[in-house]
Amino acid sequence: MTSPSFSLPPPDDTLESLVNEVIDAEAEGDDARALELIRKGAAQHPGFGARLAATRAAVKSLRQPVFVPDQRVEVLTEVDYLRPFLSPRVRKQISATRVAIAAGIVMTASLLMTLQYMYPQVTPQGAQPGAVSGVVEASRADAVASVRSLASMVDEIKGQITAPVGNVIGRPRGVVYDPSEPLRLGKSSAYEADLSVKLPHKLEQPGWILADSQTRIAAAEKTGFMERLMAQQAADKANRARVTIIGGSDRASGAPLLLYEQPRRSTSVRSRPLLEQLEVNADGIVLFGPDAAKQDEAKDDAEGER
Amino acid sequence: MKSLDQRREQKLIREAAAGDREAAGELIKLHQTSVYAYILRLSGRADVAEDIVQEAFVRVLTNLDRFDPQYRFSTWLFTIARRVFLNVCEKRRPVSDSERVGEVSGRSCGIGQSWDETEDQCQTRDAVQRSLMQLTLEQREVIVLFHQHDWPIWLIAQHLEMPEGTVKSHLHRGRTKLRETLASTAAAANLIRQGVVA
Repeated sequence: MTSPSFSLPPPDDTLESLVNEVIDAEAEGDDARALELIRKGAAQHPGFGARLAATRAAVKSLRQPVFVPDQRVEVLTEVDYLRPFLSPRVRKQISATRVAIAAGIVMTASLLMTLQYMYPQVTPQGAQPGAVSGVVEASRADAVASVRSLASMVDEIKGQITAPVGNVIGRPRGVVYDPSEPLRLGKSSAYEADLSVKLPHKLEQPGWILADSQTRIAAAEKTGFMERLMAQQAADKANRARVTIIGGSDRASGAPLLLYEQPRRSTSVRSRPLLEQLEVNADGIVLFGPDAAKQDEAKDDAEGER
Repeated sequence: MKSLDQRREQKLIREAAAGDREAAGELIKLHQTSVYAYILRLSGRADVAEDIVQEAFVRVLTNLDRFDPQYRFSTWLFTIARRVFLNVCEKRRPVSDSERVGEVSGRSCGIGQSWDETEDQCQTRDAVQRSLMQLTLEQREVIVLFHQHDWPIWLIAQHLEMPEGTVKSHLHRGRTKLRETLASTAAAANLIRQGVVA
């Protein structure tokens, strides 16, 4: 190796920048711009030509062909070990199998559709419970829960209204569950089949409503509300009283309030356990709650001690 | 619209992914020259380049089902080869220049020599590689991809995960440094004598 046969002047930023712009333009195929830059560089910098030539030579040297060993055998052997290649016969079999499966699915679907079209009575698809049935079953429970929630909200709102507290009725008795009542929009009690009860009897005998407790009968009969109620019922014997829990509570005792609304065909209360806790106060308001039950128990205890 | 070569390449990829050995061999044949030259320029050692290229092809061919056809296969291959190279660099100690060049066994000179090359050509090649090894890795990569593989700046930026401005900066600095290093050796004179410089 001999010593360098030529040398270049020290780098100049402007000159270097110009040389690089020329090389870039040439690489991008913009010969016109490259030519213009060369003219400009040659006019402004005496050493421009030599520097450009040296730079071109340097980058052009990278394009010299490289001897490349053929590595196909080594690579394919290793790949075959890690992920075995398939013979053409096996690959054809796999393709044929896939095509056959796809064709089978299409033909089966077509056959079913044809049968359904030609013999709809033989292929009753709707008779069998399917996935949709499950969804409907599940959504019914949600619907019931929603209706209950809505009903409780309505009851609560009703409780906020300062409606005239009258027409109060005592606890009905001899109640039975009657699920035959048709569903109506806005009436949630029928959805709550396990909680709704109604009286099978007419209110022709007003005393029957409070018949379980002589004390309660006496208390109710003392009130003017009860008298009005009985008068109404006497006027329309075909109707039955309706008791509705309207929410809210008695300020003194904190017990929820029941309100007699209007004579109806049946009397409906929210649940059987509540019936056991009804009590009519001096104002004619039917109270229920643990207090009433406790009072009954205390009364029974006192009688037992005697 | 895809060119005929791209469609052929896509067909080869599909067939190779389905387990066709011939198609896999064709893919290797199509790309081994470029990826080998790339890694050879980066590493400066033929034996290292062979190992890396082999490993890169094995990884690519065993994961062909993960290849996204909307990208270029060569870009994917180069990316994997580069990762393998960087992993090797981390594991191995730096190799001195005297080891890098002219150490391939049984050959008079080092990098990618073919048997019909003259002594001058061989020395020029070594000088170019020695000059390349004086650059930083980033400069070397940018120079090789731009001038040896004709990659556009945007693709290099994507491949190296750096802004285009940074790529241009590496390109210009690397080019100047390569020229100066090369000029300081007798190989520069050989280049001119061989007619490499027009």
